[in-house]
Amino acid sequence: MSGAVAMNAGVQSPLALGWLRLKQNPMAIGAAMVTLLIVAAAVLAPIIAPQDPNEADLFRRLQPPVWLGGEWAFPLGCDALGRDILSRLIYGARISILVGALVVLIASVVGILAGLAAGYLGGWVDRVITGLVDILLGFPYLIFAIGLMAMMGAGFQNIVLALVYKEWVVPCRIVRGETLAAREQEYVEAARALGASRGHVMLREILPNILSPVIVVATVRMAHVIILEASLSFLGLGVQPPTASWGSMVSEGREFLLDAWWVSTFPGIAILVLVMAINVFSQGLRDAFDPRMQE
Amino acid sequence: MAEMKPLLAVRAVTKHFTIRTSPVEWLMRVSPASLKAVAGVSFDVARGETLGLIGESGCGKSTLGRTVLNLHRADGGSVSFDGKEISAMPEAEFRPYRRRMQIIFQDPYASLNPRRSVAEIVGLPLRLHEGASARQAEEKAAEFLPRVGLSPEHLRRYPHQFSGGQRQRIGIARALILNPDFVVCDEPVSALDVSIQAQILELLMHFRQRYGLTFLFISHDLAVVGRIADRIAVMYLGEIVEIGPTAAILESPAHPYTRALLAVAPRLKRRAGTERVALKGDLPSPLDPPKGCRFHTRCPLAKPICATLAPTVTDLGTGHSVACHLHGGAS
Repeated sequence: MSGAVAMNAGVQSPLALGWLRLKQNPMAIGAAMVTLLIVAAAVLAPIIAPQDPNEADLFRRLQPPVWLGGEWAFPLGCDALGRDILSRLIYGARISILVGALVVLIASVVGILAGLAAGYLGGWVDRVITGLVDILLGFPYLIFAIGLMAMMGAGFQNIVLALVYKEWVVPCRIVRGETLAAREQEYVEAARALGASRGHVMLREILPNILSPVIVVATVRMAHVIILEASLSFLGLGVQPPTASWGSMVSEGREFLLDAWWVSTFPGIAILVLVMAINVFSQGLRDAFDPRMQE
Repeated sequence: MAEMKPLLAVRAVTKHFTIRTSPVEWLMRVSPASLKAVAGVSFDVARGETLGLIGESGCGKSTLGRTVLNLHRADGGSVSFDGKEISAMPEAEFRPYRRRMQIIFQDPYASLNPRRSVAEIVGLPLRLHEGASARQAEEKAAEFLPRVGLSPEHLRRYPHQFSGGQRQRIGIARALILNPDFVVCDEPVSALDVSIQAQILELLMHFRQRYGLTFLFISHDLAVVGRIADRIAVMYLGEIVEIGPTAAILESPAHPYTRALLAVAPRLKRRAGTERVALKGDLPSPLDPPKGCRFHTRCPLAKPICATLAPTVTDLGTGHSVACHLHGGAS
């Protein structure tokens, strides 16, 4: 199938070819649509959420979902403070997606620059960066994040920072390895022979050739970061109440798991669906843009 | 031509690469090995001349070509271009020279960035050296493409959409669009089909004649070099063993290695009296080159002295010289 696409004479750039391959993968398209749906819900939260997510009413305490005798105004039931679970889910998506996107974006920019410098310049630059990466890799991710959050205090900014501190290592290692391979290519030598600066060689010659694996891994890591944010929020180290976040919602429902399972279960399902959708989509991205990594 | 000041003067240039030791070897106190890719090479290239550089793969000829262009820095000796020593120049000072000294690569697949269009590849030299905008560079590239046998419609395409010969034409356009004085051709046709080889050679000779280009033409193919070169230098294990006018090298080779190369080169009619002696064995490792004459381990005419004493260069007249104990009075 992809062979037929590659032969298509109308298509030019390698990027366009990958895009064509992606469009022919129904699983990836489905996953992308699920992800986009959740993103859209997060963006449009004030418009589509049926209730104010922070409006408590103890008369609605642990009210069940509509099919278990609840009311249509609160379709997925209410939590221990009588807040609407559906509305809190919709607002909570903002935190998950924003943290995931921001962390991966910042980490990718930092990691790409560090990896290019380490791989292309070599020498002491490489030793310093590789040393730092190895040290950071020695810490378990969650323990590292918990420690940092404990030092910096909870809050949205600090979650992003704490996760970026370790997350940049992932794109950095990939970019360094790819750069080491790419710098020996003759097209790099050709650019040098023309008098191109090191910045030009790194950013304009090498980077476009190694971007596909970085983008593919960035999407996988986004799912990972979303889980980490949920874990931190579950432990009470994430965004602070009353702001809704999926992780803290699971945590709040823990005490009522036997009497009111819906309080924990729906945010849990939301995390599962979003993470799975992103993972399936990134698989599709990998097949389309980085055929080398296929089995 | 000999009285003219050479465009390129290479003097006793050496280039070694240090082989990194593994941590285990470091613990065992193994000293890092040094690979002498180029071991003291001297030659001149006159303006407008084509010097063919020939030798087996691994003999250091590509390294020499890159060292001349400062893509590798020489470890010893000097390279002068147009009267100025360039081998010790800082990169910033050397940069203006880059537009006058270019290179055409062997592998037309590896030497073009797969993510850049022809317009970007051919236009890059203009952007780097003439401060051209993307549009100006593209316009000039469009004007230049027909001269290498491509059409301006190819500008928007990417390297993977071209054949090997067409890609090599793109590489030639990139190297020649700034009208350089000197071009290193690093086996520019050896990756191509024989029928395409002739076309590309034709194209290079056309440019040489039209613009008075000076070539250092690296190849392992005597037939190709014999066609394009004015003079030929023969390289073995990082050293030039024989250098002279093309006719002299082809008709009366003085070094046993050159003779062996000529003997294995396919040709239609074998000259009377030439024996077909194939060389035995492989190129010795440049990590540990043989003592004395580097060729003595494979030389059919080796004498005892060859194993102990490195031969000096003997002038055979008319610009033909050789480094071999069979010639000159060193016996």
